[in-house]
Amino acid sequence: MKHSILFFLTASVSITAVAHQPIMDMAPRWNNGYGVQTRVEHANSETTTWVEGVYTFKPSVRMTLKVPYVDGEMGNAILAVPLKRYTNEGSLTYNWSITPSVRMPTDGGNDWDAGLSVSYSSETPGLYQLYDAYTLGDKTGIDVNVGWSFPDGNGSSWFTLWDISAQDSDSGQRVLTGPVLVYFKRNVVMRAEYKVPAYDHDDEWKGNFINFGIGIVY
Amino acid sequence: MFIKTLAIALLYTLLVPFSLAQNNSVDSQEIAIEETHELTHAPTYEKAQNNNFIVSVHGIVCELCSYGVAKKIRKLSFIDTSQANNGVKVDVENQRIFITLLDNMPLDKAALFKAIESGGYKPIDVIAGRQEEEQE
Repeated sequence: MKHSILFFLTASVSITAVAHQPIMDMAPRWNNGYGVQTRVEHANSETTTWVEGVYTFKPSVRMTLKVPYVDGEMGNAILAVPLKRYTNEGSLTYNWSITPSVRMPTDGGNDWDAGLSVSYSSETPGLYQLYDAYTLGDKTGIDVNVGWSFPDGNGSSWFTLWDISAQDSDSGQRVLTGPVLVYFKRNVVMRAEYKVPAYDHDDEWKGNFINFGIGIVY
Repeated sequence: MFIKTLAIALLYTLLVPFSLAQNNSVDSQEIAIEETHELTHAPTYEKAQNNNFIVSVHGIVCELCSYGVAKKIRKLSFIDTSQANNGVKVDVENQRIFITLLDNMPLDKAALFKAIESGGYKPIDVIAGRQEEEQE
């Protein structure tokens, strides 16, 4: 019962508050922009290195490719096409995004998975927020990132965010939550996050989640 | 199961405004086309006394996100990239862009606005020269 209440509260917060796609949600949002990032993710006693790329044909159409490596071996790559609708009003910019994706059997297997994500993010000179609902393969989840940015006026800025990620899969349910720190200078971005289970009824999940990423956009 | 239900509900909740935003965007696109049409016929600006201009731009609130718009403006032939900040500085606190023009070069407003739109933002107007603003 205690766990159920905690889960309900956390999930409710995640709906009013989320965040996903660290660098790629923000940039590049210009025509013919592109970027690469690498992330090292530690979870379940396993370290995964992600190599990711993004190309923006125009602000409303992007393409992303994410390739995971575990112990030096390639896992299943995810190809996605984020379709965004931006609105700029005074000191506010926001976008609705729908992202079809496919997970390809680049690990040598035969299984293909289709995915879909719908998200909303908004930003002012201070407040940033992102809400994302997604499904991919057997996984369905919600991510929320909310926090504040502190631009220095000279091309660099800190973001302090709170992340809540809830996921349901064949192996069970879990809710992870924790702080995120983002720093960028000019076109280089770094993101670090640390999340702990607030609700863990997932047979395949153990312990905390740590992620560190660095990327560059042009 | 609860997360799945919650995620599906959120997916649906987000999808409705996405489709509404698409409908609204048609109007925005039409307006943008009209504005672009007007801009192609707009006269170029005489250069300011000190070569500096300020452009008001809606939605420009993040320096990382505005990296591309600054890059696109710097490619314009009338921008003096030898000046501070390579001739372009974005003010995310006040949603403005400061630009410095080359000597004897007029401001081509249509080209400037096209570069800003290509960078993902909504140009509003050329509001003042920096020197004028400081005097105010």
